[in-house]
Amino acid sequence: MMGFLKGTSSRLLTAAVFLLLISVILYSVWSDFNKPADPIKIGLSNTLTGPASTSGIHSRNAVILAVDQINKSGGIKGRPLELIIKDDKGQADEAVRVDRELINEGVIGIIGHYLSTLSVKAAGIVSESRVPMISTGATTPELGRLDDFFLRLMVPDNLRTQFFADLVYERLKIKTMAIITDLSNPNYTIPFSRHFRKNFTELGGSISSAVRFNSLEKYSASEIANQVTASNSDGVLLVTNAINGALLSQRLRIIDPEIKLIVSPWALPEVDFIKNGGQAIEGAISLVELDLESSNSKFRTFRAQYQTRYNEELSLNGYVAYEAAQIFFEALAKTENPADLKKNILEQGNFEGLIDQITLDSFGDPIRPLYIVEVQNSLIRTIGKMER
Amino acid sequence: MKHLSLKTTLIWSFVFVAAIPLIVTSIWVSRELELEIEKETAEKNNLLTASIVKEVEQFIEMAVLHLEQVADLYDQGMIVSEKIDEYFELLVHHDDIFDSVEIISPQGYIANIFPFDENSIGLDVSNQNYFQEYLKTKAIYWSKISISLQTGEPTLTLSLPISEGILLGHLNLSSLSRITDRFKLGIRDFAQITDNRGNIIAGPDKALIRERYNASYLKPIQEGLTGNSGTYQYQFNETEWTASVAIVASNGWIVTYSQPTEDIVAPVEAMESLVLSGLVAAILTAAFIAAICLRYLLTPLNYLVEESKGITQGNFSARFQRGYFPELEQLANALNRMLETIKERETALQEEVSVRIQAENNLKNNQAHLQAILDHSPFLISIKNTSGDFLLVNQKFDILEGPSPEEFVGRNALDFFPKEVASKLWKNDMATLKRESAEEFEIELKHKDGTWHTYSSIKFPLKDEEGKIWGICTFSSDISEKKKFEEEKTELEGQLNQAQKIESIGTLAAGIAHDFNNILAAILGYAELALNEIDEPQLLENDLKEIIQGSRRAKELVEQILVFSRKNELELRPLRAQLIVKEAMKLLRSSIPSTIEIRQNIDPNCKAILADPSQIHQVVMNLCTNAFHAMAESGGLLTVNLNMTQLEADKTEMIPLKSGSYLKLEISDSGLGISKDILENIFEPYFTTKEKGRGTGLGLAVVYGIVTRLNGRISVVSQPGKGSTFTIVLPTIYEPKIADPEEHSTDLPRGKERILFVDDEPSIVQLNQKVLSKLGYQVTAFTHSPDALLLFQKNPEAFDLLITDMTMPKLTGTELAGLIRKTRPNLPIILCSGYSDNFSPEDAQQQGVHFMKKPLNLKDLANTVRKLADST
Repeated sequence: MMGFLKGTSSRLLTAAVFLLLISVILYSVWSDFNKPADPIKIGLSNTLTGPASTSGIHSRNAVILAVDQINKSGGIKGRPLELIIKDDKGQADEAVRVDRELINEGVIGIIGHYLSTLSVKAAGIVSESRVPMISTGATTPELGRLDDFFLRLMVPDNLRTQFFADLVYERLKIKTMAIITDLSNPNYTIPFSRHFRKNFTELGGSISSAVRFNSLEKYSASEIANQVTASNSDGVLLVTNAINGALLSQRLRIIDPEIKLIVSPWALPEVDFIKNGGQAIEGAISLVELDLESSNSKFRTFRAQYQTRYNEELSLNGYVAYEAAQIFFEALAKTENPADLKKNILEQGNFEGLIDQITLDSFGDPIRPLYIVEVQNSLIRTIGKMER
Repeated sequence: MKHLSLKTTLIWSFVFVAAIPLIVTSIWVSRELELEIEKETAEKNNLLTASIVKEVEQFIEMAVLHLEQVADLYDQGMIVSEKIDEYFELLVHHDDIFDSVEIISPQGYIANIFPFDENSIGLDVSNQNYFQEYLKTKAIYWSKISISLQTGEPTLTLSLPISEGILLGHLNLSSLSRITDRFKLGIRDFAQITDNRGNIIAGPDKALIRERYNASYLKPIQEGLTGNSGTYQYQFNETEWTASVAIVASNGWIVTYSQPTEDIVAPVEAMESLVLSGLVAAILTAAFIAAICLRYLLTPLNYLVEESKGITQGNFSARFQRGYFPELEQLANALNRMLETIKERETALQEEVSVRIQAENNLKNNQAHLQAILDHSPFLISIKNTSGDFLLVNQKFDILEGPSPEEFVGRNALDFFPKEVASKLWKNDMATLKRESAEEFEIELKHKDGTWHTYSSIKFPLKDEEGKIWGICTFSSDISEKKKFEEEKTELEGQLNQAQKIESIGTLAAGIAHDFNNILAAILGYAELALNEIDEPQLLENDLKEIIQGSRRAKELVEQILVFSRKNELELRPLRAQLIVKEAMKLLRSSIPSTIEIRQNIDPNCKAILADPSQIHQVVMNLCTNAFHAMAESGGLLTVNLNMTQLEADKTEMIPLKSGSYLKLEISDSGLGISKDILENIFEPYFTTKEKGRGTGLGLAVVYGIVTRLNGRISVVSQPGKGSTFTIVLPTIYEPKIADPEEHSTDLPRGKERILFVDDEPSIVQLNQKVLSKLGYQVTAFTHSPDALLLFQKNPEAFDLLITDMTMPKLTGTELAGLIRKTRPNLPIILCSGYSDNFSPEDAQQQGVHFMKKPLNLKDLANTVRKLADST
């Protein structure tokens, strides 16, 4: 009896095991068949929170859109892209931390950072790990002429300030300038101010006053304005972010409505600069990488796509971030090995930007034209183009 | 295909019967449950989102209400400038709705701000959207999210037009998050609010709010942005979520309540697990019950199977036992009865099988033997169907030019033999099929070595059980060598015949010389006497007559020798052998010494045979010469018998004979005889027992060749010391009745003349005397020619016509005619002879006689007699 039951049980057990095996085999075959190819991971680390977060948020949104577009078109060589987003909170330590996280998570490249101070720290990390980074905003000369894994799409400030000095001294015929420098982003603002001073004075201009403050700390805008206006300068160079730039502009113009406002691209053409600048920022001038009024179809198509998706206007750094994403995609499509990404990008050298061709030199610094923008009737208008 | 055992089938049947309804029911229940739960969840979550929307609207209404209250007081001038901060503080700190409150002047400057900010007072905000809207609509305005100048956090601004500018409050979004945080039922559930751009403004993840995360790409938000509420599923952070969506009507904000889909269906899955457990339990129970039932059913059945195995091994004495169930008992009884029957049949079957096995073995052996015979046969053996296609050929066919024996099968001779060969084969086959009997053919076939060979084929039709012909079997043997040998043999025999004659002459020479001497002696003696008696004419005449007679005898002897020595080409014609035998015996008598007695019994009525006269002569001469040699020293008796005999068909002999009438020639001697050990060889060429120089060894071989060519047979009986007897039989032929005067005598010319008829053969004398007498003639006949001459000389005028045989002892026909002509030169004479060569009609004409060839034709004889009688 027991033997008989034993035989029956083992028969049932055999049947159950058999069914289980069949299921496992079918499931694994089905899974393999449906398993998507391993994604290519790309990192984005930018300032997404805090007073300076607008550029970072726009950069993030633009890159999300770019990645969605490439994934919808089938990815790169059949592999989808996965974007991993990190908030550097505008802080250098946080930037280093999130960049390490991204590298550990296996990204093949990073888009970011926006702030030069953070980028200087991040450049060491990415070079050490041999993961290329394309910055959307860092223009500090400290990162220029280095054969590292740090690349960027905005013209370095040692070069940019030459254009600025030319513009102010030659075109605007301003001979005396004051400089206001925000020390919250010293790796950007201090070299920018210094290079401008050097270039401007070399042309024959003079700096009547140089005021420094830290927007992360409590400060008096009126006091700064008073200091600058007291120096009787014809113009003032604002090396600040958009909101502080707008605030200071208003205070300066209250005291001296005629003072010429020259604004670093950190503030202008940011939307926040316009929103918060009121009438005081009329006539403010800057030099930027893109003509936001361009009729170039590629540019306009992307702008329309962005507006449709996010229901807002995109700032300059958002466009640059989109260009950075395209350069990564283009290089990835040509290389089998993502580790050779930097080499591939630099070997290719020339890329079509949203409006102009961008040439990256052997150090990963861009050569591209700069557009003169001016605030007119609370709108940013392009009034000229400068290039070597 | 192997079938499942009854045990397996029954167990699985039990399991399926138990499982399938349960499985179907479970699936159906699960599906219904899932749908119900999804529906309930959607309803519940819709209620939740509706509640959140309501609270958000209340929050907004509250914010608006608070600002309106302050605005009213301000507009009514109830708030003095110095006190305004107190009201603002109430708005900011008491209700915790606003982060800050501002009054914007109609020109767009910040006129007042709480909490106070030095940098903000007096700022131009005319570019801000809320101020632009104020200028356009002068209505309450909800701004888009912007970053607060004061806090750096995303901020929403509510602006309310007042009499002098705008009362503006920056809403603290954390108030919204407090609402959403309260609506959290499951651990992983969450409520979330996005603005009308899809940016997250409230929810559990504060980082997303601060980062102004845009969620417009998620399905529920997309639906919300297009104005659709409801329940949707979406994928986020590798988890599937189910979200209910509701829209805040006043500002287009989207409220979602998300729940992991797996949490929603968790009760269903739990239920499914329960059902699955029940299912397994039910199946196991079913299997257990099935096992118990089957034990009672299968144990006796297994016993039946075991017993059956014994039966299959031949143990028919086994008996099945009863089972638990009555059906099984009936089955056992029926099987036991069946066993009895099977046992009986088995015994009978075994006997039949052993007989069949034996028959099969025999058949196999026969087939093997037949195959071996076929393959080793010296003949080409084939079987064809009636269309001429080969069905079987033996290995011997490999010798022929053409395909291998295996390739013959299924093909037609036309496929590989030359056209003329194939055509002849076909004709032969058709002839065989037409006659439906065995037929013999000759055909030339080409060997692989390129040589042509003559084959003798025997073909016979093959018939099935109903007698219908289905094929042709052919046995073909290569007779090329034999034919060649036959040709050579024939040629040799020709030479031998001649040699034999010469030999015979040699043998006969002594006797002939002796005769010649005697004749010459007589001639010389009478010649000498004639010289002496020349004066006595009567005596001289007698001497001269003797001389003439002797000379004639000598002449006759020479003619006979010439006949013998003549080389004849073979000419078969009807002839009477007895005449030739007689002639030969006459010749022999001259050469054989008198110590040997010759007896001959020759039947004159022997029928004719188809043969060449010289060959028959040679046969007699050879055999008699041999006999003479056997008795040469001691002397003895030579007996020659010739008569008719009747033979039955005897196929056992080497040369089979047909039944019928035969001429039998027996030649016996009383000589040395032939020993048994050489008896079989005596007919072989060049075999001889004689001394060198006395015999060629070809005599009997020649005889054998002649006899067999004439379709006859030769045999010998011998006893050493007593003598030998050679017996030859030769087939006779149909012979017209030449000697029947009754039939034609009326039509023939008749006469009454007196005829003298002379022939040494009594039968011929008898016959012709009778025939001529019937025609009216007066015939006087003699068998002894000297007697005839004597009678004639006594009365020469007593006869009108002489008919005489040519070859006669003592006085030949020619001699007789010559002597009679001396007396009556004009007497018509007819000379008759069996040989035409030594005496032609021309010779006869020259001598003035008429020649007739034997045997005498009645009509010719009558006509000739009449003609000659009339000519005188």
